[in-house]
Amino acid sequence: MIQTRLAEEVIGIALSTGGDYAEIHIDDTVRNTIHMDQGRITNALTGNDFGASIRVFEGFNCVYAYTNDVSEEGLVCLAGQVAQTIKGTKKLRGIQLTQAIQTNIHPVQILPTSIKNSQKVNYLIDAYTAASKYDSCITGAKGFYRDISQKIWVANSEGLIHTDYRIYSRLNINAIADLQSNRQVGIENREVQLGLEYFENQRAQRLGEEAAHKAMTLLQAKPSPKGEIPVVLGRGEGTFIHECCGHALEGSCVSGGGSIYSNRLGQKVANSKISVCDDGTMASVYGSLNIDDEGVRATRNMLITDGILTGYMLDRLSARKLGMQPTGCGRKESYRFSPTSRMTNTFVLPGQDKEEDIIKSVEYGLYVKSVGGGTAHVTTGGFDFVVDEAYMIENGEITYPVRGATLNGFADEALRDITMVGNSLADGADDYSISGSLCGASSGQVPVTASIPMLKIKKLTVGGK
Amino acid sequence: MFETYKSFIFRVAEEKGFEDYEIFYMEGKEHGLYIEGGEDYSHQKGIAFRGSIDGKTGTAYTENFSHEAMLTLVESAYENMMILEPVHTQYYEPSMAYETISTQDRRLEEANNLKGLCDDFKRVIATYKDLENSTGELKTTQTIYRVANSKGLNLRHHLHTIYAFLRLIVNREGMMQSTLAYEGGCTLECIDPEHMIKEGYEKCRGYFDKGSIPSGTYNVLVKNNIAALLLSSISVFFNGRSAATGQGIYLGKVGKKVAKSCLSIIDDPFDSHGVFARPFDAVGARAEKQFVIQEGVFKGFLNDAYSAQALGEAIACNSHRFAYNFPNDIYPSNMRIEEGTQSFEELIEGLDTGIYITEISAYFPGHGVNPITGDFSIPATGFYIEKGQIKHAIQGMAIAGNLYDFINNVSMVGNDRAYGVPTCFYKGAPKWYGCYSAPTILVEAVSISGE
Repeated sequence: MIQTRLAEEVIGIALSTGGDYAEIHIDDTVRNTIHMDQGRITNALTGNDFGASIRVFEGFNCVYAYTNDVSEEGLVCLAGQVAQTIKGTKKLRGIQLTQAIQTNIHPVQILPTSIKNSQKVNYLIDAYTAASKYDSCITGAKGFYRDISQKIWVANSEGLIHTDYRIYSRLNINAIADLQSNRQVGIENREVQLGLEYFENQRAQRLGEEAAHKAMTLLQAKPSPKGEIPVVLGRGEGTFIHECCGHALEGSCVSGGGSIYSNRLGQKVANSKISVCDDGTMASVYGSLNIDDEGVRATRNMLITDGILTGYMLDRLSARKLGMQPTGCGRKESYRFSPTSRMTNTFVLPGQDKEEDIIKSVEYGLYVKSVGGGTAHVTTGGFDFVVDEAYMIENGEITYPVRGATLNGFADEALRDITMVGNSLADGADDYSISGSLCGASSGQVPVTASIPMLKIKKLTVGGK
Repeated sequence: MFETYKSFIFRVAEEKGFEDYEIFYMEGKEHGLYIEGGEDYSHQKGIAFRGSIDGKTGTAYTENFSHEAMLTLVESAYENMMILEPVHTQYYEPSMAYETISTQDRRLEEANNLKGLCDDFKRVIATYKDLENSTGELKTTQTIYRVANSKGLNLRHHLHTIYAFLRLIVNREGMMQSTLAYEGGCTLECIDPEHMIKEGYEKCRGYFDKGSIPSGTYNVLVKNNIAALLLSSISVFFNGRSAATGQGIYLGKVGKKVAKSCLSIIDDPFDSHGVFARPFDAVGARAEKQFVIQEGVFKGFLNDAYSAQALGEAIACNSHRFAYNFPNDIYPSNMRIEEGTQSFEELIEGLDTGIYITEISAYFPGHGVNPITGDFSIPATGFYIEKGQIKHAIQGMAIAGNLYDFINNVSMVGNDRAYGVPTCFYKGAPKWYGCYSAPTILVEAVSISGE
């Protein structure tokens, strides 16, 4: 996006005061969001985010700066400002940049920028119509459509220029069900690393129906029980592993010593039935990358193997601090954020147990079919997440739906207390399994997926009314 | 440069046939220092365009100031306008008188002042032997906001802010406990390292002495900065647009009692300790101080021009946008629960036996709080209080109920108002507009999940 000569000059200036690594990152992104409420389009915002960032390391010291003045003058000025705060001894000179060989494992058929908003509103209207028709108790629906087309250009003092073009599409529907004074909301959300081909084959209608189904289920649901009880987490609902141990295994937390997993490589941290992997190489999956935002190729990274801690997710800076190699997960939302270690596609590997046996083994507990977002406390290992759809298990059978539950616990206990692991991870025929969500942390909101086979946990704290 | 951009965009908008149009422009600098080492800078500017024809309004934004990009800006807004239905909107005449707010502390432009403050934080942290691996960010911002429209309005506001956001970690023989601490405002004096670290440390230290409680219904004391976070969750129900579409827990409650007389909630855009102090909103409406709840009575919703007309309410000055690249929506500016007269000790005495909530997570609408019904279930940390004394810490509990009942059950209000960390300062969290503060409050009959 800028001339190689200028990039070489900017990196040279950034390193002129003794930094030992410098990087320039340019981001040209078109974002497009359309909101719908009760079948009416209520808001639409289209925009172009365009800016550059420069980052310099001097040992473990990191200085980061960004601007949206991407002119030669603007970049040279920014590089000079960064250099002013570095006082190092390295003398890296004459950096010569060459274009890295790129591969794209996330092909897109219909670019969002090739279709007008007047056509995209149909996804929302179709979803609304399908939700409204689902049941007479459905009194409304609202939601939004979003697409992001992000061009990335990264060059660094190691001499390579990397480029990437990332396409993300999203549809969110909230269906509202009313019965007498009982009002419930069913939320469905699909976020994919695909173009608009994803919305073919009536996917928007199906999403509307699923949101309506969820709202109707909640309408019939009883209040969730509360207290410590056994919990079965349904196949595919990976928020648990993302919040329970994922964040605490990110290098930015580990390298500062503030994570429960700091200095614990090789130690037993989970039941031996548990293996956890973070894999950024899966084709067209929402959390995958061709290259990360530091110009490092994505990898498949085993974090926990048979209950033993075997790896961390490492960006360049945390890898430096730990004396290890980056694992291709240095990520950021846009040029406004300094990249750091983030999850990509995180999952628990399948185990040996049949799902029907897992349900049968529970005398009284909660079956969690669908979850919302969560949070993690990396220092204590505390985690929590919101339950969207859940059912009681009584005497080995799923009985009735419940609503209003949250789950919380502590990673060490929860991973130890997993007593059964389902034998399949995801249904390959279910194209929704590639949908993910945005994870928010210090480098902004980045696309991730997370998945698990069905898991039985001896006890978690269930919060409910 | 602003006038050049304005003239060009206005000429393009006129040629495109827009009847009314407006630009919202932001230009700013930030400087951040990290307690654990590291520094960042930014220079940013961007522009949003809003234009209307026949009652339909389209919006778009750009950070690219080339002529081609600005032509695309107006064209995108036009295209967006075509998919929207007509709704009432407003382009203000340059006839209103605006309050003057002092939000310029030039000392915040001096890097040495920030460095000095960062050194203070490091020095104070070093005085606590078991405060290890703590991290934190100190940031100063200076931003110029401009709103100009085809009616001749041309407003400018210059805002300086500073905030400190710490993650304090107490390490005791390998066991760690942590807490978040926040202070912010528009002047250097808004940050007090000694106070932030002492309060956070003492709270964190208490978490090592853990116990459990049975699930049940308890009276709870909610710490001031945590009550502020809950206020941010509750504030979505003050949104006039939601009310205009028939949603929300305060529908039909204007003029009615929704809380005990001890509770008043006010939106104050002139509070210079709040980081969203402005004399006008994002469309140029004059900012107004408004009671939402006054001595227990619901006074009205926060509005933009559309919702004010739909609800028949008079004031429409809360059409905010976090930045040019965010859509306009209705948000509070600096919202607070008004202080009462009782000290923290009197509140503890009033509680007698119950729970003191000192941390919460997942308190966001759509994540812990149902944005339609107000039902909530929020993970929390705190202390069990027996006969006015702290007995032990409780971690891994959840508070649950409905926010309407929660507000209705506030029975005592303290005199120790503090600010909660604005959601937008959590990196990665949604960039919601608004800054919230509250004193410690006593709430009766809250459902708690424990053992």
